[in-house]
Amino acid sequence: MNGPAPILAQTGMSFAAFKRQVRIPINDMPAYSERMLSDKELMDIFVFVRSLPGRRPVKDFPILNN
Amino acid sequence: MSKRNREGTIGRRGFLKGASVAGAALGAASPSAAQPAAAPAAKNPVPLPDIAAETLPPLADPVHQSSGGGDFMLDVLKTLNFDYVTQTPASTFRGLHEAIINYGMNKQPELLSCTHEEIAVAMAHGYAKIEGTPLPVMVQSTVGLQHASMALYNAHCDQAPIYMIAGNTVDAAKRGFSFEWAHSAIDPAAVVRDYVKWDDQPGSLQHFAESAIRAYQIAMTPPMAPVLLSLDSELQENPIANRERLRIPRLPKTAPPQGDAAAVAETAQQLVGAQNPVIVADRMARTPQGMARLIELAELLQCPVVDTGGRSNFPNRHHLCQTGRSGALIAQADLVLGLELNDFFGTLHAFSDRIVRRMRQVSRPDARTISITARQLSPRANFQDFQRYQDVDLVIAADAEETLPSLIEQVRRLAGADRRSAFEARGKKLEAAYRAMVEQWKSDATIGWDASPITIARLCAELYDQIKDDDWSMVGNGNRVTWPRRLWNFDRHYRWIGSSGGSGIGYNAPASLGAALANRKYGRLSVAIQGDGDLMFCPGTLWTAAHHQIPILYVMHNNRAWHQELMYLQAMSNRRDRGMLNAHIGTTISDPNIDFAMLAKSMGVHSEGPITDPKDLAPALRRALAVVRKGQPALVDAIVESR
Repeated sequence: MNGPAPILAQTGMSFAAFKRQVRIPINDMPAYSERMLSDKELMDIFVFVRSLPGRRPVKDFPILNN
Repeated sequence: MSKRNREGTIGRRGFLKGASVAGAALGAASPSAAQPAAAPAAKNPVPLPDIAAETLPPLADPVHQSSGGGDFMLDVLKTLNFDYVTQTPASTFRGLHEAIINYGMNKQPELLSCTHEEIAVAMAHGYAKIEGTPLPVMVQSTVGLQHASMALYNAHCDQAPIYMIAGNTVDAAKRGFSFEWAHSAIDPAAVVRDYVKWDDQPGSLQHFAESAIRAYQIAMTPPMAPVLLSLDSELQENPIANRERLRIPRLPKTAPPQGDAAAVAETAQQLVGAQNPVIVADRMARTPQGMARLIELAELLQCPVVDTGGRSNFPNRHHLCQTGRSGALIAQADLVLGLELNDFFGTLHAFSDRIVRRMRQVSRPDARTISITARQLSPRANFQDFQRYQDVDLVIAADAEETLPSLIEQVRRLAGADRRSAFEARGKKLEAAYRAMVEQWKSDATIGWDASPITIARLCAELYDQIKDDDWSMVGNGNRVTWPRRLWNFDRHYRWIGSSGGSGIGYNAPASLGAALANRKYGRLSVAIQGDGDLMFCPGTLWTAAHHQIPILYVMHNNRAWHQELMYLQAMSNRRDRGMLNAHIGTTISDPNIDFAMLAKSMGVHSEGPITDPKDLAPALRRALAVVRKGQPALVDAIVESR
């Protein structure tokens, strides 16, 4: 469980793929049933993560080029 | 009033009364003894002071001694060139303690004070991984050793030498009442023997001298490990009857075990012939030579290296450092060479922590496997840190670092022009993959750059920006975050020292301090990323840092939780379809939030925080590092994303 998590900001996944990973996840991610997380709530989360600022140009961050 | 006095067992007045009786029995004559005893006050319920008894001389026992067993013990320990000894004070080693600070003038070794025995051992653990040599740690026989036991287990798992000294009072007829009995054992080492390589309880000073040298030799022979000497308090405290006849043996020069020549030749042949070999290095680089030798071997073969981080085995900015691509490389490898690799099975398999626990082989079924490890030479049965059995094709029971020169020589001899050409082509592909991987990491680091809680990537980038021009050493990484190895330049063996070994919480803060202590004499700047859960196991570490002026910067990775356990609870709750709203119960460290800056300040450590806005991080780090560069400890409390 220590590995880096997948990047979700500006995710290119479709909602169907996103939902599949949440309901029947691969690897060790906990599974969320519809009873615990409705499709409506899942859609809200999907919209939220897609709205997050994603990658930015590395050249704008000199300290990443040390 | 002490418990002993309240119980009237051995109070001063009672002692003197006893002395007067004994003195009379011995026929002791003195002017005061000739004075008439005070007349009893029959009508007064309060007894008058027994003036005569109060003024009698003490027993005719000697009150001074001109030598002590502890002095000789120190003479022996000095031949082992210890710079420091860590300890939490305790009565059963007071004879040696006094010898160190007075007879030895508190120099080589200098005594360091720790507020818990676990801190004392973990400091020695971190010190050993920088300096390459052990520190003595003095503990009380029973209670102190049990406090120390978790830290000893970490050191055992991490193959680090620790020189344990436990005081004990062997002769039951001479133990004081009450606590001296509770602090004595017939076999103190029994509680830790499962993870101590060798122990002894010397019966004489000559026996001590021989066992002290033997213990050091055993601890320092790979696989390195803790050793323990139980020292009788009488032996430490009493005068020496025959100093001129006591001999201190010489410490021999010890050569680590090297691999069998034929097995090394076979390994070289396999490496040269393989199309897609992978070297996986774990606790391999014991010394600077370990990294240099692995670079030489990898470059000869243009072979990818996966550095698990057990030590600083391979420079992460070398194009052959392919740790970030280990999954893909293991999947296509036709030969996997493990160097001091503790978990070979885990390297070749994936594990799913689900209702049905599954292991899945991720390596090719036809991949050849070779393991060079000294761990084979000192197995233990009870604690299961040796991991699941892997049917390796060739096991060479030897120290990997020491075996590398002969392996390199054999590879050089076998690699003909055709193979060198193939190696070169392989190296070019690996270099292209490496460059792409690094660019990907930098791009990943920009995500959530301005977020609060602060991202780990930003925390690590900001910290490295301010230490990159120093001779820095990352002495701790409590939550094993991977960003430093993606963004920093680990090009020396002391840039990173590996983790706890046994994953016992309470390691990171004190082991980092021990490593910082070792770095101090080289003028290195020590930094540690410090988990909040770990620091709360041994917060007194901060006091030791301030008291002994050990320069180190702790940067808190404060996620206000034991977050690994929180994730486990989330997984367990969802597995049972109960949701994870209650998973924080028992797994978080909040309500109230701990003010680590105030905690550090209370112990004399410069502190900053809590910092929640990433813009405030760089100035706080700058102020804290200015303190560290002046030789003092500092702590920056940053509120950081969970993982």
